[in-house]
Amino acid sequence: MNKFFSFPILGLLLTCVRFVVAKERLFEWNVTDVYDVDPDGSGNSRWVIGVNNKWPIDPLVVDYGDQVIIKMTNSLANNRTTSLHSHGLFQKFTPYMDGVPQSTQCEIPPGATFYYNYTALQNGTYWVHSHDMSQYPDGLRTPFIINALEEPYDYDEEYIISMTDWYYTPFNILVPDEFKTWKNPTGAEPVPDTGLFNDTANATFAMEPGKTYRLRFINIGAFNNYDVMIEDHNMTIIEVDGEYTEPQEVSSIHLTVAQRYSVLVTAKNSTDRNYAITAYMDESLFDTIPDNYNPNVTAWLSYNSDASYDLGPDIDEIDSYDDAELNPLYSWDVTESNHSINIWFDFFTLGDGANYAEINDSSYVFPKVPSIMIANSTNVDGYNLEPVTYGPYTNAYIFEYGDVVDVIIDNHDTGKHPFHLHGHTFQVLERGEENAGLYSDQESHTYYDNPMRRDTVEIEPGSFIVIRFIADNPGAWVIHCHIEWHMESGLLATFIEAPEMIPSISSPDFVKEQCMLDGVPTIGNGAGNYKNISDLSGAPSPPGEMPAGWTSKAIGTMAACVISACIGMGSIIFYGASIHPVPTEELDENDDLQEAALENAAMFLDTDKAVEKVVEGKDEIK
Amino acid sequence: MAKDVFSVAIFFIVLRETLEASIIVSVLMSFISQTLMDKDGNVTDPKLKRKFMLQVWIGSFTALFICLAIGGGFIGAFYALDKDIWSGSEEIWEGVFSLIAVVLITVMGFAMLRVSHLQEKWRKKLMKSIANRKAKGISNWGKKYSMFLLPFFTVLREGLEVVVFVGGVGLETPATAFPLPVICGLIVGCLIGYFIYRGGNVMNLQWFLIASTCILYLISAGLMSKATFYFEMNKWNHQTGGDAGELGDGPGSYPFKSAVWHVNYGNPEMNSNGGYMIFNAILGWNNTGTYGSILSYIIYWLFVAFIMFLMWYKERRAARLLIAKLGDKVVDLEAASSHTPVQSSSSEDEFKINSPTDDKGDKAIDIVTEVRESSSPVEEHKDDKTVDVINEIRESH
Repeated sequence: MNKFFSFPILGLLLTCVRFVVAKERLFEWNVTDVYDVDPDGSGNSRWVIGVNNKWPIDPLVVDYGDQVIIKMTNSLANNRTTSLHSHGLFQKFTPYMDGVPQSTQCEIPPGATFYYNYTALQNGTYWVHSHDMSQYPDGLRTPFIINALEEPYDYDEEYIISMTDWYYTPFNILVPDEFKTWKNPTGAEPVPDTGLFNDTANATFAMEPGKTYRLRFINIGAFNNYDVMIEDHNMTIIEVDGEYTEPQEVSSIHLTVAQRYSVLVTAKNSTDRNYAITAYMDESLFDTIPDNYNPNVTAWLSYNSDASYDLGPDIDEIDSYDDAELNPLYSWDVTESNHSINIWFDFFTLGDGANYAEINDSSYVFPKVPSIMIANSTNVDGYNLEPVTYGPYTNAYIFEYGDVVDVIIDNHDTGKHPFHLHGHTFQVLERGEENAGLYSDQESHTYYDNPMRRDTVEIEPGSFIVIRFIADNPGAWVIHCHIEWHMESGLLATFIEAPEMIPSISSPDFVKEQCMLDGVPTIGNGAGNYKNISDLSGAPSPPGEMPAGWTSKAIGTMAACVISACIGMGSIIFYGASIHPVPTEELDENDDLQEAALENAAMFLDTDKAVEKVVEGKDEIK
Repeated sequence: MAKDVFSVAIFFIVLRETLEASIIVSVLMSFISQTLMDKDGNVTDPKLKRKFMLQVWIGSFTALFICLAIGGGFIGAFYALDKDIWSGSEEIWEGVFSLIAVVLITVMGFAMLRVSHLQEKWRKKLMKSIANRKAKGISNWGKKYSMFLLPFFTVLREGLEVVVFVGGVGLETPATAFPLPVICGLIVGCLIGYFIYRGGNVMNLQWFLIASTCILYLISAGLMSKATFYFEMNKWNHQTGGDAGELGDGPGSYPFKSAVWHVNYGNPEMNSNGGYMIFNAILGWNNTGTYGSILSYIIYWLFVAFIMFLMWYKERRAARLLIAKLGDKVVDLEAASSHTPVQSSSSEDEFKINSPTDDKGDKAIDIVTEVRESSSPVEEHKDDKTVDVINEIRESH
């Protein structure tokens, strides 16, 4: 009775708030090439993707409830496509705005404009980046802040602090030439040339004594983890990935690619000197470390612009706080899961000699039709409830509306992997320690009482993680490793939620128009077949396994070797048997030889006689 | 494992050279014994014989000792430098060393089959050496110690040949794989040499030599294939940045573009695959077959077969030419035998035939000796025997 009574009142309140505060925020982005960019002043200029002929791209800052419109026009040269994903935003009931080519849209063709139009119904620290392969490390990314209606923590000012690894060579060259090639069968990721704070080598953040600052750390890099420490300052964690936490004081924070933290730092009362913020690269991810490599990236809390800006200390080992131990400020009241899936992944060298990631023995390959459009157009006879409809290599999983889903992820690889799920934050129920083995190998499982929620979580090498989310967001959401190299390798899966509800969600006209411009079909199954939905022949597929074992070629060539060896040995036996040994002759009575022998004998006789003579001589003397 | 302790190729090379040295010693021993025997079969001077024997043994073992010292020093120096010089591009050097070993083993293998000719060859060489010393008036000291110097220099030369061959073949072999095959080769070679000295018959040795040669060529063909594979792996490692080793036996660990076949087990480079390592050492097994490694193996064997056929053909042709020449000599012999009073003229002919030093000469001597020996018994039987031999020669011609 009481509960029923309160519901309409709450609805009324939300309506009033929206009416009073909401406003439209239009960002006109003309995506362009920007040349001769040298952000670290090293002399290594390169091309980047910028916005409105400018790079770095200005951060986006909006308020809760705002209608966000990013009008994105593709002005890139050489017929290149683009896209934009708002990382961390749920896109609830606006799945076409999630910005993943071949999942929720097609790539934005040259000259076309895509309107990313959605309501900001969440708050926290986010970022936007292209989801075209290899594109965001070439510059198309920026922080995205949504201010809360009522901030639960007190602070005076705030700074946005992005961190990135940086390559002097464009990613769209590195990927085909150095990474996804037969010359790299182990899948060794190129080591970044350097790192940057706020896309510059000289970032400073002015501090006033006594004030408390909220620092929003965002790792917008392509590959590397950072451990961040502020010299002589502690940090209090209050937010991760858009979810407020109970306050936790720490000396360092660990950020994988795509993770975000908000921390509170209270300025010192003294203004004698400046203090370094150091981001230590996680070198365990590197297969090789170049000579004279500097893995530390530095920015500064600036108390005194006249004092020096010194580097922070070198540290042998960083004792990072385990983010899985954090507790959310606002708990979920979630029941037990009613749907559980187990996925595992590893890396393999496939038939073309390059290295690929496989999830449950399958390396992700884009379907011919974007996944959400498959769900939309195969909504007959339950076809869109069948995973195979979405393509044999899209690693599709189907969930019913409202399912409470546990996802167990086993990491068979020897590296760390930040896994990111679109459309949701999830609870981190359990995280295995490094080399703990598979989830099923554990003797027991202890889940956290008040599990931390976030959208990107690190899985330790040779270990596992268990996450839980609620499938209340109809759409096609990818879950993937956020290391860009590994996305290139196919480390993705597709979560289809409530596919039968997707047809009722409206899609702007330009979405399908751009597919036509790209030459991408918008109806049918993963193979683009709309007449016979169960027929998936012609669906895109990864290279097969490299042939091994005793194939017919192997047997044939081995037989040829054996036969040639037999021919050779036969010839040896033939010739060897045909050699007639010369019989030993009796010594002939050759006079010359006989004389020589006798003469040699005589020499010894003469010697004996000579000796005798000497002896006789001595006797005479006596 | 076994590959690191016993090199089969080194064993056979040491065996072959030891065999030759043993034959030298046994020929000298036989010569000394026969020279110092009178017509009644008694040793004319036992003391002198012992002195000669002692000289032979001292000369032989002194040379052997010097060779072992040089060989040990050479190999020791090589391995001391090993880490510094060769570490940069390991595979390419393995390939080069394997090729060197292939060439040396191939030459050695050809010679292996002809060991049965060594006894007669050395007997003649030694006799001529003695004759030349007399003719050239070598100093008294040289004459006095000829039984020391002759085996000393001969064994030394053969031994240094061993050092070169073993060094070349062993370039890609770990140092621990040298001692055991060298010692075993020496022992077996000496034993066989002793049997030759006692028995005087090398015919039974021929099948042993054929088997040894087959094994040698199997090893050599394997090395040929491995050399090609090493070059390909060197190229592959450069292209892939040398990281492929972490992929074990699977995809990425081998140059798949040039691979005809591959199995993900039995990698002889893995220390855990002991059986396959032996298989690799003796037969050249590898768990990857590339176009290069397969074709080089097949072509090598066809080359060997061709050379064997060529040698057989040349020797057969030489034999026919010899028979053709002997046809004329036979006529002379026939004429000589019919004119008994011209015996001295017959002696001169025999002497001239003895002069040639090539194989044809050997054959001529053999036939003449047979004729002369058969003429020793009863005159009537002699005539029949001689006519039979001549008829046989004419028929074969």
